[in-house]
Amino acid sequence: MLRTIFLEVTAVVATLCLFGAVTLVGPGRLAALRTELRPRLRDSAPYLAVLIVVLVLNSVIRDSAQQLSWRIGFEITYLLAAYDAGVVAAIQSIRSQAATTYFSSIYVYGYVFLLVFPILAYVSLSDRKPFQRLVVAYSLNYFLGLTLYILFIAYGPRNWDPVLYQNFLYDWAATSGTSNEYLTSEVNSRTNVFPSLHTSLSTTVALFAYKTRESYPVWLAIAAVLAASIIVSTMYLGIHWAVDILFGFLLAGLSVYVADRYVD
Amino acid sequence: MTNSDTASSLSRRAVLAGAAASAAATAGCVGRLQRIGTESGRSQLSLEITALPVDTDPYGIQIAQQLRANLEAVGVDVRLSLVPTTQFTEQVLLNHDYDIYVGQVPFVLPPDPDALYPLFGSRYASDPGWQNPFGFASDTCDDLLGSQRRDAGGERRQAVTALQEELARYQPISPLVFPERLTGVRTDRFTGWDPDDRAPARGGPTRPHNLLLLDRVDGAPPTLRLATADDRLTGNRNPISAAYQPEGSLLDLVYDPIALDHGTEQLPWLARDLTWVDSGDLLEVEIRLRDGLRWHDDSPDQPRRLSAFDVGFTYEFLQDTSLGAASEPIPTERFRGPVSLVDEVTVENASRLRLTFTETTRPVARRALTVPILPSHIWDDRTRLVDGPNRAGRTTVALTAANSSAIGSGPFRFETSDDSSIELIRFEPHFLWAARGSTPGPGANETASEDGSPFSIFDAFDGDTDDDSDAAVANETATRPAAGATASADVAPPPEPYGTAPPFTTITLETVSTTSVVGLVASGNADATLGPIRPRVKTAADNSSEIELVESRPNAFYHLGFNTRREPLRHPEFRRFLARLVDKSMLVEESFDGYGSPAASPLAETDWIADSLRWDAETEADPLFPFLGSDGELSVDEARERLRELGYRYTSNNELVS
Repeated sequence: MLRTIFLEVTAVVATLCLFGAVTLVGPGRLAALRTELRPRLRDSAPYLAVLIVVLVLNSVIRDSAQQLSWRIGFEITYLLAAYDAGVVAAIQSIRSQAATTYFSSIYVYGYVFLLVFPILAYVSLSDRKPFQRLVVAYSLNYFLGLTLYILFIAYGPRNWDPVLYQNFLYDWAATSGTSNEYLTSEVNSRTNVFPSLHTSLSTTVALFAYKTRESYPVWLAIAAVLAASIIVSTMYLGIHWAVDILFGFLLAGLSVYVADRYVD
Repeated sequence: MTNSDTASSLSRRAVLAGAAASAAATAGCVGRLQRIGTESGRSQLSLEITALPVDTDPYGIQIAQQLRANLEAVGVDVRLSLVPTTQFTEQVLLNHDYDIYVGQVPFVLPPDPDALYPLFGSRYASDPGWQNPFGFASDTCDDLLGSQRRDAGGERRQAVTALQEELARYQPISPLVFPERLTGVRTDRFTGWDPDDRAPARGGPTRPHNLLLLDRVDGAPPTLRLATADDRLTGNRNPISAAYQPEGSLLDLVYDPIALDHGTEQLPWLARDLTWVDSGDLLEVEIRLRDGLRWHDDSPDQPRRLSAFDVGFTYEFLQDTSLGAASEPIPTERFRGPVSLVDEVTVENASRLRLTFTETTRPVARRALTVPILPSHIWDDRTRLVDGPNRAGRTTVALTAANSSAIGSGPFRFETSDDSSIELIRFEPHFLWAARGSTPGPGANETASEDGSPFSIFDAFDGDTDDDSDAAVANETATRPAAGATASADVAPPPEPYGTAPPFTTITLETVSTTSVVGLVASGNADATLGPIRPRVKTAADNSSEIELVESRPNAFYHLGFNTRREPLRHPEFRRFLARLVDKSMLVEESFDGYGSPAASPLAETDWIADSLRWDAETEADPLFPFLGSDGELSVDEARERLRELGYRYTSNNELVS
């Protein structure tokens, strides 16, 4: 069951990437990849290795991290709810069928595309810096995110108050016949709320898109719109609090800053 | 949090504006943000409410939110903590580290009043599990709990009535709502879900033993697929350790009891027959087991038969899982009430044994026959003492083991599990169907009776739990002819209506959130929902002709549980005040969408309900402690006035101080 959903996401994202590769990256850069891909990857191998280690670590210790979290972490749902200042409720008040469909698709498919496409785009550049920096920034996002998830346990709005906050992702999954809520509930543990990794990674990609706007001017516009939509979607769907978003921005800023300094 | 049963620890949580990072961590507990710098020694009264998140329980959280809002309105510093079920078990049931929780009792069937014995008896106040997690101690209640156990007929009824009234007066818990459960079922593969269509019905459509009675649509695959939000069984299949989980999990199909509750009767299950001996001051039951009972790990190389020694072992073991190794017995964390009824176990031979009961009556004593029988060859090795990872003090391997392989003797055996699902396989040699040869399994012909009695004898239970006038009937062994044809005249027929193999060989249980549960059924990936689902399942059901909603009424009532060890919850008057902060009628209407009934007694849905505690349908108010307000709106002035009467004061900021 989970496998079919993964296949679905993979298919959609692969199609988008292919389209993006042809239109945004362009045939010239793609052709160069035929000879350049290997040496470029080899040069960036240490960075990629770190990213892979972080991702593997993330998936291996996720369950035990959860338990550790309940031993040593801070339970802060009540704080996030108190300092949300009505932001999530305001965003959810724009509820409509169209908005639900848009934000749900963006949350599930758009997010994966936003993260995967830059890898493809930057490996296609002869300048290796953006690629390496991106990889470092991803690693930092995941590593710091995981650390914060251990230190702070919280549930999102949809788990806090079913009257005040709706679970629109469920509505969408139920009406569209897919079970994406199933996907996200399995992929993201329900207490991994603070900070929002969707926000931090999307913002990271958007910041990189700004830095590489000369190579990929159209991508900057796409990335900005996608990132903004993803960030709003996490709140519209009742998954994150406004405070999670705020700390997501900080995490993104920090990751990009460190990646810039480190890869020089 | 260790050592937290003190008043000072209650003042620990005031919110430090946004400065999460600066708060000092307390080692060994889920971090609390410490109050740094209280003004002038007097600190605001603070309380923590523990509840489950929406994904696990969509109803409890709404009660918790109402209580939180109303407590805040009267100037209490409230912290609402959302925890997953594992943490709920740990904090509430094992370590008693909570102030107030919102939860459900584990009852599925209408309980016998004796179910209140371990729940409120003071001798259980420091024991883990559903044994008085409130730390409640009242001599009057203890006396009444004892009387209802000993007395029969009118005397017992009086004791039960008085007990309910005492409990209502002292409010160790505040009963709120008996939920009506909706179960979403698909009818394209299996039919016959509604137990009300089968008399005598008991429990909802997914009560494990009711599943055995389903019909399969022709041509449908023989796999029953269930979806639940309760993730306990994927990680822990220990039938005797404490868990915040309703009774009647699928483990009931893995472990067999001596007798099975069925309707208002009991059916002899592992027992071929039961003979009650009641000589006035001594109540005993003689159990004769069925022949050819096997454990799931039985094999030709290593025969594993279920014998009276296993049964005897189980009762001894549940009373002390260290089997004498510990200085004080370390009993099971579940079934404490039923087990405490058994005074002595005498094993006569491999198929016969006798249970001698403490001073009690037959309708109560028979509760002891429903505990799961454990294989001694597995649990015998689990007596070692360990420091419980989640429990204060010493415990045994038996109570901390995950019991992953779950070897039992039941109609289904555990096959496999992963993070989010488990799979059970039909146990072909089970007595329910092996003897009939309907599903030939190994050893189907080996079930010949040892003593060659010409026909089987059932103990026909009178089954009347609600009228005790017959409780003292002595030396009764009713007989009835064997029902249905059997392969061999010597073999006891299986208890009707369970005598035919269910139309599925595999049961899968998928764990998701309460919202996705419905999605799985709607999308055709599950046949039924197990456990609570959100009311809006109705829309999914309306949109599909293949989904039906079956209503049932589990007795798992929602309540506020108070930790009466702590200030200010140790004062009954304060608990009574808290009870008046929740509008039960409004809850049913709004949070439960009408699917439930407000209640003032734990026995509200039984025939034992005390007249004085019946819900007043006219005023729609609690007969003893009506809501301080109307239509869900708290009358803040009135509530504050009550608190002042109780001796509390308000600061200039309207914060409540003691």
